[in-house]
Amino acid sequence: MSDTLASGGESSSANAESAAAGLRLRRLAATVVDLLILAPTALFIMLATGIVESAEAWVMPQPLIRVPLLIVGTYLLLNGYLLFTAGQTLGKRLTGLKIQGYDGGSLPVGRMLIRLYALPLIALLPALWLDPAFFPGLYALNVLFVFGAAERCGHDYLAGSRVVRPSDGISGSGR
Amino acid sequence: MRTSDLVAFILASALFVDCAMAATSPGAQCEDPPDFSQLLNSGWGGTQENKRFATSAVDQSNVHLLELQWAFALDKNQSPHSYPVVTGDSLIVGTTDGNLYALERATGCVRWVFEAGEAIRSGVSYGRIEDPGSGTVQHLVFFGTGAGNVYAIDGETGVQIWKSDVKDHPYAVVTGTPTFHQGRLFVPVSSLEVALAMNPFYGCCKFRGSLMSLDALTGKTSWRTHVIDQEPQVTGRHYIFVEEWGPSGAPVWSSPTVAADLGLVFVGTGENYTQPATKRSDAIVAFDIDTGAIRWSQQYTAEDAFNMSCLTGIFSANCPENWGPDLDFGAPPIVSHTADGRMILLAGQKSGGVYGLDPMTGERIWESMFGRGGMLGGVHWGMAVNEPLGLLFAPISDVSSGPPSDREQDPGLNAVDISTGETRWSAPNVGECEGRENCRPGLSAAILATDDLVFAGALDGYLRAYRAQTGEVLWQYDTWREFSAVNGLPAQGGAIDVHGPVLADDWLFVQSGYGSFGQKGGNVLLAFRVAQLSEEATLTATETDDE
Repeated sequence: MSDTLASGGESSSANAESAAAGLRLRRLAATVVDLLILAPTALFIMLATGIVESAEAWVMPQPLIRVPLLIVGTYLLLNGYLLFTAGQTLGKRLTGLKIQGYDGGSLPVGRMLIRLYALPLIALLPALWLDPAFFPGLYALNVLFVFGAAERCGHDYLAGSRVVRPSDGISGSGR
Repeated sequence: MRTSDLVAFILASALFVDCAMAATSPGAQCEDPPDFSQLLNSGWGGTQENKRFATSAVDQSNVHLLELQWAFALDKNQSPHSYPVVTGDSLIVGTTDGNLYALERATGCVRWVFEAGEAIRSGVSYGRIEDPGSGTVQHLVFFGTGAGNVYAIDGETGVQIWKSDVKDHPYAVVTGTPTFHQGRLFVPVSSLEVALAMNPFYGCCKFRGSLMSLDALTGKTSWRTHVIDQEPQVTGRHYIFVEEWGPSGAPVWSSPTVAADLGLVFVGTGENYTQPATKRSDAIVAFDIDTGAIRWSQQYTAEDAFNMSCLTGIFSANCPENWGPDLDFGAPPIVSHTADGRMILLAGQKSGGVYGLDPMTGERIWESMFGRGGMLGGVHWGMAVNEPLGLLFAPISDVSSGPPSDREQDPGLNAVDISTGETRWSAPNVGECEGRENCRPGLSAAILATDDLVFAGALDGYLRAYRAQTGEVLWQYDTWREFSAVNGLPAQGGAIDVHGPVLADDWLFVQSGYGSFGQKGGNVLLAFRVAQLSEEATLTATETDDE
């Protein structure tokens, strides 16, 4: 009996690890999809508006304003409606993922904005005044959090959110 | 917070502020203002003809007695980029951290500092301006910056008189030293758009090099003439669909050269940044001194369209098709005279080409080639002449760069007959690079000639004095090391590049540590003096005191 229980416990643990790895892969896939859609759309907007084609755009601090503006604007254009109504980006919708509050409810708009922009703003300040390398460095750190037991990125902790897979009832936290 | 913690915090803060102030202290302060009654060097070339010839008490008999007197740390940036005005008692020099220092010549102590807040990229020129009404005289010093501004500063007080924005493109800079002539200031305008081109999202390129004439008293523009006549237009889109523009480029990097008798100002120009290439890139161009109208131009490398994106592999979207070898004229032309008294214009190119031209027409009289040439020279920053000896001295950098060449690298110093272009002697420089990273043997910096010597700083950090008649090295000094600076900041020497040495009386000054292009950086200004002469001067002063 005890052997069965022990065996069942290991199996459950293995299933949980497998599910967690699957969730991380799906999050990665969702990010890749979002980037694949974002890049050409941003390029199109860039060409249409000429926002970064002029020399003025590359005189400091203009690039630190215009480039994030281009990327954020494009991201919102593509994902804004879905994000604020369903907690999904295009990539997350395609991979069956959803962002929700840590308590399981839908994420309020304010916290969604924190999830999206708190980290870039935190990273932008030292990037503006000290070293642009802070920006990618902080983002790398943000992503590394997903390998923790709760499978939440840094921005999830900031916003009190988590990413779940509603169809399987698998969430990125709470275990 | 506990009281003890608060006290500790305040003490720590005070200590930090104290340390921070010590780290940026300009050093000892001298009360007296600079005295301009004896002007020993002004502008890039000593004179408006850019001859780089100095009459000096340092000669073949005493050059071996040159000894370091003091070192001054030129702030913190590792690529000093200025050339001083030198008077009987002072030295006025800029830093790429944005400060203009007036130093006491004998000790390096600071008379005043002007904080421009933007990199000083040019040498410093002096202009004496007399108000015809009141008869008052202003001693102004002028320089250009990396932000595309030209400044006029009161040389006695360090107070700004005017500042003129000469940018007609956001990336325009003033690298060549403004040349002062009869109340006018001739300003060359170049740009760093050549580097911005590495950004594939930037629609490249729209800058056109120009020469400007400013009123030296007010900074107002009298005229500006672009080297390229045509406004840039959209010429297409590259592979990520960003607009391509042209014609562009032909920057003016060097200090303008004035031939007052001819009413002409000469400059050398750089390559085109994009296609279509134009006729006045990589050229010597003559401007009317009063109107700025182009009188003639003589191109030496045609179809040379290049920008730095061409060196970046996958980011080379802005690189023009069939990109060229980037063979600018970085060195200013020199107005000189042949043995029979004819005026001649002498020019050196990054290709390693050295040319004698008719200054009235631009017609090529003679031509000599040295080494392989390349993007960093060839002749990079500047040559010098000794007219009594009839010699033009051409330093060759020959840093391996640019497209392959079947010519051999041959860095060193060469003496050329001013009248014929024949080589009189060559002194190759093998370089003292053992155990030194990023060390090269080339002579990239501008050089200086005296009655019987030639002074040249090298990328291996050595400052050398050559016998003018033969090229024999008579003295050398290794600047590739740390120095104890009189202003208390860390001071490091490295590659000698850009403006090179300057002589005044029995003093020799040089900046060391040009860290661009992967070279050994540093931040030091060194002052040498002939030991025997300084002892005699001290003795004379003592005797005078005794009396």
